[in-house]
Amino acid sequence: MYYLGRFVTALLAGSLIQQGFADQGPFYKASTKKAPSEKSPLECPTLEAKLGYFMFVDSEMREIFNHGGIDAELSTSYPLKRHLQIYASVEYQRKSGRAENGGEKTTFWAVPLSLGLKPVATFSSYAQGYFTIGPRYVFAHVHNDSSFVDRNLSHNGIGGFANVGLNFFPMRHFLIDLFAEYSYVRMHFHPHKTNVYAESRQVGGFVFGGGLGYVF
Amino acid sequence: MFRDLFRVGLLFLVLARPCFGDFAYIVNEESPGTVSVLNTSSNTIIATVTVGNNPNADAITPNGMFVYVTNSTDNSVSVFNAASLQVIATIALSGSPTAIAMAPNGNTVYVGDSSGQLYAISTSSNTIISTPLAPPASSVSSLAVSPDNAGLYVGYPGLSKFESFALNPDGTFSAGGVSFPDNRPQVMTSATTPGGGQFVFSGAIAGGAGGALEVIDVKAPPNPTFNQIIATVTVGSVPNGIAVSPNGEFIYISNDFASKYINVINTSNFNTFVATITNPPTGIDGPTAFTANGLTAYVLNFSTTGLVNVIDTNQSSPTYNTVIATVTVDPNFNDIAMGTVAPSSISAPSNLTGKQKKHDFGVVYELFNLLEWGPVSTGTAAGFNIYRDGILIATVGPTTFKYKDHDRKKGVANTYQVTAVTSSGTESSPATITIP
Repeated sequence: MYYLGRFVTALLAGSLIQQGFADQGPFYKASTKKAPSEKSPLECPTLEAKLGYFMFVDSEMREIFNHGGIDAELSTSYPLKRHLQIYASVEYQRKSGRAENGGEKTTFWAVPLSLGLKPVATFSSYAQGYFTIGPRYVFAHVHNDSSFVDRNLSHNGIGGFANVGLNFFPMRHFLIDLFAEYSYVRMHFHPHKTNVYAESRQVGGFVFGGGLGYVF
Repeated sequence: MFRDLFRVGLLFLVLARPCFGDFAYIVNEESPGTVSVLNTSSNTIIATVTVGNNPNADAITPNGMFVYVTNSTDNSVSVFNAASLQVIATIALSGSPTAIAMAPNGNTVYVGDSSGQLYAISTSSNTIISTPLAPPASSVSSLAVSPDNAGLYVGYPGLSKFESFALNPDGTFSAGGVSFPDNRPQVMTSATTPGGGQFVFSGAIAGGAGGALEVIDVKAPPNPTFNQIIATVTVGSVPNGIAVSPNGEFIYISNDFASKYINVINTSNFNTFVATITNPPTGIDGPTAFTANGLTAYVLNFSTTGLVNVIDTNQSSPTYNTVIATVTVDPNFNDIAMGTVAPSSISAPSNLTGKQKKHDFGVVYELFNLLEWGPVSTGTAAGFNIYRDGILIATVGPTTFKYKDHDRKKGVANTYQVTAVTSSGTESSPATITIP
């Protein structure tokens, strides 16, 4: 009876210890060795590659570029405090469309560079949510398959962005990101050809996508 | 001998010129007024153009493209295109017009009215370019422009005089004309004669009911007889038609009332009567016009309503200076002018519409004017010409009914004309639209 009681106690103790390690997420291994002092993901820099679907919000731009475009992004986050990170990203956006009242192909691509502050909220050891806001610099280029307007035009501008997302940590050093982003950048291109005109346009928009990242 | 050789040479040139089928524009004084277009090749009326009310005189530009018709009731001048037969302008006057004359250079047409007022009208803009004068309150019966476009001669039969006004290079005239006390001028014309002389010929009523041809020398100084009457020749009773053959050799002066015949006078010697053309039993009188080659003259026979006499004016013809044909026309005829432009056998494109559109590439755009039109109702189009502000910018095929004129400047209006063209090159009158 004595030995049965000690065996049961030992089993229960072991089970409790095991459960305790599990509650601490993928960064805590059940081990007979002493647990190393692992960091929370809130305290770890991350590097992500993201892919998204980009769409203009400007109605005139949507008439020309009426299908979605691709948005590819490399972003990084670095913790400043426990629930606040600094965020930086470089993107490449590309959309093709057809000129109104002509149908010629026109291609718009842009390289936004973003910098922001990223408050983070932890929901569990496997998931956290974030919100990022900050300024954005955009270099944009347009190519028009037409002799009636400038074939190639470039311009740059400064605006802002905000994104929200969820990070999931299914395993150590690995994260999955789902996000939605809005950007606002107003540009007024300057055509060189005579009798070609430009209007100020909001060339930002929405991006919906996901990414894979590494947690250092 | 040299003069004879010269005359033969001129005659050869006249005869060698191809006859393009001249067209006589006969004014019919009625309401609504009309102009009958007579094809001199067939001596048939081929078209009728509606103008203002009670038209009484006409003149045609030297290139034959535009006919100017004075409308006595409407106090206006109608302008129509000789090819399309479309009235393209109506010019308002301050009085009832009574006489019209085209400057030899075709830049200006002059009109006189029943109060004696004179008007200079630019044929490029179809607007009055002269400043009104103080009219002498006496009707203008006749007008003529000197062959060098430097003088305007105006007949005032009610004042028994004619006046000459110096013309500026832009066609305008100033007040202060030179008066010539005279008989009562009825008809006038001008010509350059083979010897290089420049004259205005005035058919006037000289006392009683006698007629006179007065010859005014208008060759510019240092000509010692400039602006002087150098000859007065007794002709028939009341001159009511006068024309000079295209080679400048002969004056044909028609005489009304008791005479009813045409005197033919040699310009080398104004006292030499070459012929007196009669046409028994109806007589022959009235306004006269020559075909471009000078081989035929058409005379409105005021003695018989609605009859045009055709006179053979070919010097080498056995029927020279005789009436060789008659043409029945509108009985209300009043004047005649001759041109060489054939009326178009194809109608203008139908339903021309135009709109400016934005060729939008998102961040940049350009503007274009879109023209659309329908098929012609008469004739077969081999293509269409598109003009912008009077300049030909494109020619498209017969199955193309739209055109995009790109690269338009913002805020600038353009006027477009679209014409249909036949396979032989005949062009229709234009369909016109202005896109702001």
